[in-house]
Amino acid sequence: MMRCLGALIFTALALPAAPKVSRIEVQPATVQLMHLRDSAQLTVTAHLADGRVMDVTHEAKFTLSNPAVAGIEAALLRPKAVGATEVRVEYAGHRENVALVSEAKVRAVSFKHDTLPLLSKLGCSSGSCHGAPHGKGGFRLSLRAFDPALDKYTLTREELGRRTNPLHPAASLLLAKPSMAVAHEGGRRFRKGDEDYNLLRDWIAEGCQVQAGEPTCVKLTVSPDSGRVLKHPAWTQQLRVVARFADGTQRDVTRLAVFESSDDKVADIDRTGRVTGFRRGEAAVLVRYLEHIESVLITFVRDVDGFAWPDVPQKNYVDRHVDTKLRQLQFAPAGLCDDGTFVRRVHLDLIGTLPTIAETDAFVADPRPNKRAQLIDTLLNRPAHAKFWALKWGDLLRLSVKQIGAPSVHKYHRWIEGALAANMPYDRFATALLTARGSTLRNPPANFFRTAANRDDAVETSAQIFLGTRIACAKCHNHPFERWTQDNYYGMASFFNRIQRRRTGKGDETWILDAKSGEVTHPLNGRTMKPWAPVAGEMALSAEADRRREFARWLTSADNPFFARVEVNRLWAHVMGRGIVEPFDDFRDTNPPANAPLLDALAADFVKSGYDRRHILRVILNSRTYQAASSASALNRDDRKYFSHYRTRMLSAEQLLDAIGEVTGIPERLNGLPPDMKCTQVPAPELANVGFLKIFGQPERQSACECERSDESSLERALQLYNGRLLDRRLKDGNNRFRRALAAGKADAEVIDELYLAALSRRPSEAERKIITAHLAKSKDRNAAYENILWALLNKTEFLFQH
Amino acid sequence: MTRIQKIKISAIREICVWFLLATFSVSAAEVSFKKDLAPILIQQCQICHGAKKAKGGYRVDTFERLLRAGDGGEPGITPGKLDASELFYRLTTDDPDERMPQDADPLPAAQVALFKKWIAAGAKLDAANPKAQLTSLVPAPTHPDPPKVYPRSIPITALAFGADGETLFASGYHEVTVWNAIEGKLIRRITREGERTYGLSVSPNGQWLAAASGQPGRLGEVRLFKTTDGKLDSVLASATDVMLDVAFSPKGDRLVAGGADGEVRVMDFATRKISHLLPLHSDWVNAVAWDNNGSRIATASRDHTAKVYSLAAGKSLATYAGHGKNVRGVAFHPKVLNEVFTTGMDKKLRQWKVSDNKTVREIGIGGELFKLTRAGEAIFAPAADHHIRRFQTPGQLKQTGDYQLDDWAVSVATSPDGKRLAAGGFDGKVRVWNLEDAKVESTFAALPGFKQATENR
Repeated sequence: MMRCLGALIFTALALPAAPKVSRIEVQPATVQLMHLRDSAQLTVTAHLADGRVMDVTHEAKFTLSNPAVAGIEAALLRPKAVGATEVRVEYAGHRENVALVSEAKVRAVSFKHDTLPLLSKLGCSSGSCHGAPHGKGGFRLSLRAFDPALDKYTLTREELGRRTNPLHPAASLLLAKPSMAVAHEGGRRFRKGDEDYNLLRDWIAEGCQVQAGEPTCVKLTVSPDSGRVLKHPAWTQQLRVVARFADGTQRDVTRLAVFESSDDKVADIDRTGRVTGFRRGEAAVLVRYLEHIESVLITFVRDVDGFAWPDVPQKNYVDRHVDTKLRQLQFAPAGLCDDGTFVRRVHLDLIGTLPTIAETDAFVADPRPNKRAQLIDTLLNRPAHAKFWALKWGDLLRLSVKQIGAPSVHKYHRWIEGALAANMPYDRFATALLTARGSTLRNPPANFFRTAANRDDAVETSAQIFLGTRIACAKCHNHPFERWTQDNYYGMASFFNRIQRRRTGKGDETWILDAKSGEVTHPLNGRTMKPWAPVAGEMALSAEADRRREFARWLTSADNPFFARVEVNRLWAHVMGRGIVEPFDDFRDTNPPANAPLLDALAADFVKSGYDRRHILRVILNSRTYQAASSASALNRDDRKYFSHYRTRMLSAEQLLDAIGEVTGIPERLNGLPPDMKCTQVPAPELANVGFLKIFGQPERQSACECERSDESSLERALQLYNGRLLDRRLKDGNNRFRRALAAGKADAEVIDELYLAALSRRPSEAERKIITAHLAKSKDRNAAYENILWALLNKTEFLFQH
Repeated sequence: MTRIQKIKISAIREICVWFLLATFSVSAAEVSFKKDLAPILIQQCQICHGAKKAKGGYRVDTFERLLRAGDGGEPGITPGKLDASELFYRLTTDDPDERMPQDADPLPAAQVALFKKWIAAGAKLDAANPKAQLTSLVPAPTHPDPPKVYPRSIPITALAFGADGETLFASGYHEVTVWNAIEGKLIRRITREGERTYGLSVSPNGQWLAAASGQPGRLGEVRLFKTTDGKLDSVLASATDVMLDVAFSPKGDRLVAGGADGEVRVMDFATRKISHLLPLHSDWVNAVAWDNNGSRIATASRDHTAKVYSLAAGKSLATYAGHGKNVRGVAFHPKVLNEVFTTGMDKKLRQWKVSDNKTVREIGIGGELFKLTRAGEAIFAPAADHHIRRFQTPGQLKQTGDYQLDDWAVSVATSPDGKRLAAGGFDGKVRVWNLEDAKVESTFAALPGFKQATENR
């Protein structure tokens, strides 16, 4: 007991004195409560002398001058009677007044604005419960209440009105199950007498009314705004949510809104809208009411013991933005990696293969201070760069023999490689793909809408590649995690509805053309959909407008918020191992960028450069952030998303096989392809039919999702490296690298250096050299000993990984 | 934590519980399994530990199974030994992962005390058959009175004509209402009935009314009333969820009922006992029907199938999956032994063969369909598009009549002489037609005292 007390006192003393509060701010400034059912959340912010803000909503003291008019609990005001009152708010000696007017009108529970949002908030209509396509336990609700007509039927009519009992509301199954009066597999959602229970009960008691002609909700406002920074230990924040309706009225819906955190390791949010932070970082809180979704980004910072900003260079704006974030979160950036690491890293990223021994030696020996920038330029201009990056686009554009036939694969691949080699501006590249017509053989980008073989595929692929959005969910229902609605899906579909695909009978040739007419109808309500695009909204296009060209024009306009961001994020992810938005093709409100200003700056630079992809790569690769060492320190080990140190990652399947070929001196021969073609340069997976590549994650290219390329470790992979035939054959090959070197009469030290340089772009350390020399000395069979050494090298993480 | 440790801890905990329970004095009288404990087990446990879903391999739907061990290997109950009764441990542990009912509050201390006392006293069954369904052991509840006047409407989910062809029985709320069909006048209110009535059947001799009823998610019953005075004769069957249909056999010697537990129950009229408990369906049995000589029954289920079962042969004869959706109504062909009609959520009336489950004919209808009724050679199909369609069965099936309500038509009945049709609507209204001239004879809200309110459902 004494010890506990002692610790308590000690902690209290150790806490730094809180800065002085200079003023408090209460939101909203005035409250109007129209109906007895309404409530209003107050938020109280303390502004501190050091410029910081602190949420003190639940620490402030509230006093009502006329407690007969309204009551307050947990900073939530509820009306009691008609009248006006002052709400006095006090904290740390500061005082603010809020004027409250209550009209105490009576209104029925609104099916659309109360009942359905509540069922959504309670989780009933979530995808894992009754919102699943077939519901649960025979009871099915539309996912997140996107289909009120269906829910009306289900709740009031289906199975002869089984679920609601207006004669005896409390006996309704809709109340008995979630309150566990009747066993409910979904567990308890509320208790009898709770606010939520009462709302549902009242709706039933009022006859399960489904009001017609209610004003629609037009806007959801969440306060505080995005961007609040909370400093430990004050890591809580109360949110307040207001819905505005078409008739000009507004209502506090904090109690009906659904809250979700984008990263529940960083912060969580309870059902009343109170956010609690757990660790340093950022979390976006998603707020949903009806089909409206808003998100609020909150940053949680704290003082870290021993944190000091190290002396590291800032090469360009990338480093400035990264450093700003790192400083704020108190993660220390790593310094530059050594030359050997850099030369290996940048070769793998730009041309996909390991540097040769000569390249490594020359680079390390180069005394010029700007040699890294020089090497980046050299590599960007090498034909191998376009060949390697064509593999990445081949994945995205689904180049496979199965989809478009071998002749088209080769032509399409050549077109992509050509575009990359010529550094075709990205807007032109995208436009070419989206608007190509005619023969897929004579005009290869026409294959874009061949692999996207129907309207829905065309919408989903275009959204995935160019908008970084996985829109497919919205085909059947409003997207559960973001603002995409079913209307949006079919509105966007009308850009692609007229595309026709005709086989010409000439081999695999397909003719891509457009019909003169054809509209999309909404599957639920049969409405004819106007072409719709994000931000632009519905577009009034002339009857004869080329809709694909219109889409491309919208897509590539400088103010399109998606196009440039998605591509710079993709470039970033390919060389950094992780997107600023990650997964890097999954842009959504619930998945905010780890560093929004950085993403914005790269996107702006990209637009300004005329969509020059090489320019962006050059900027990224020349930054300290890219060139940072991969080793973590105590001050940045916990950082996995703010780029404080370089992220190691395993070589891709094709890179790995090329690297094994290079290190062993026995490259993989691919049947039917030019003898010097590397695995990283193969136009389609079927053309390099090697089991090893499949095992290490080479995608079949069935979808435009980056996720198809698997980087998960598996037993199969481990076994391949341990004693797979592919490796074994090369170790034993009479003409492999070490046998050639030995045959040429090289000394052990030289051979070992050669193997190390080839595999790891460095020479062995003294300790390594000692072990190897000892191994050779005690081995009777020198070749077998070298086989072991090479095997061990190829199984080193340092070889298998880019670092 | 090992099992031994758990037991030790549970023993310590038990002392605490014992102190706690000391404040809730359980009466000195013996605990009755069927009266005191079976209702708790049915309500709190059976949804996860019943015939459909036996979580952890443990079931509580019969006394015998309650005592047995689940997958964990510990017996559910060891008479006289609390610390060897997994069930008691599960009710009292404060490990939230282990305590039952899961994700809910613990049972009230007074209920736990009942289990404790009963197990300690030897866990005796105060009923004859340890293999009987718990629901059949629990004494039938006394139902509350119906509302004096109906403040709101409820759908008329079941109708049946009396032998005279004028008296009409209609479903109510905790009652069956009795009307003069021609005048729309209330004759009597039959009380002591379950919350909602989903199926009504009058015996061929006109003396008995069987009602399939229940409270959604909680109780299902088949009750037998005298038609003459509305007195309750007996409760023929009980279940944990609603009974949806019941039908007297053509001779009146047996009844068949189906309900939300997927079981089909055949009852012997003379003994008032269940003779067959047939687990024919994996989901609700919406409707049941007899063939002309009372040897086969047909069933329609939410499991998307309809079945024909031979009571004589004791086996299933046909399973028809043609609807591909909830099957709502079923009737044997009046003349062709081998054929059955069904209606379903696929908005189709289907005619199919028992011998090969093949569709003979299907007719699309503009709304989801409810229970079928057969009258002579005609069948009547009520639908959510407000229409009741009449089909003539001999030869090629064809529509020969169309009757309309103001809301969903959810139930129909015809008089024994086939001259009169009554239909019940979702809005609580009943309409009666003379089938000879298709004229409406009466329209009335079959809800005593109900005044049309402004409702929008």
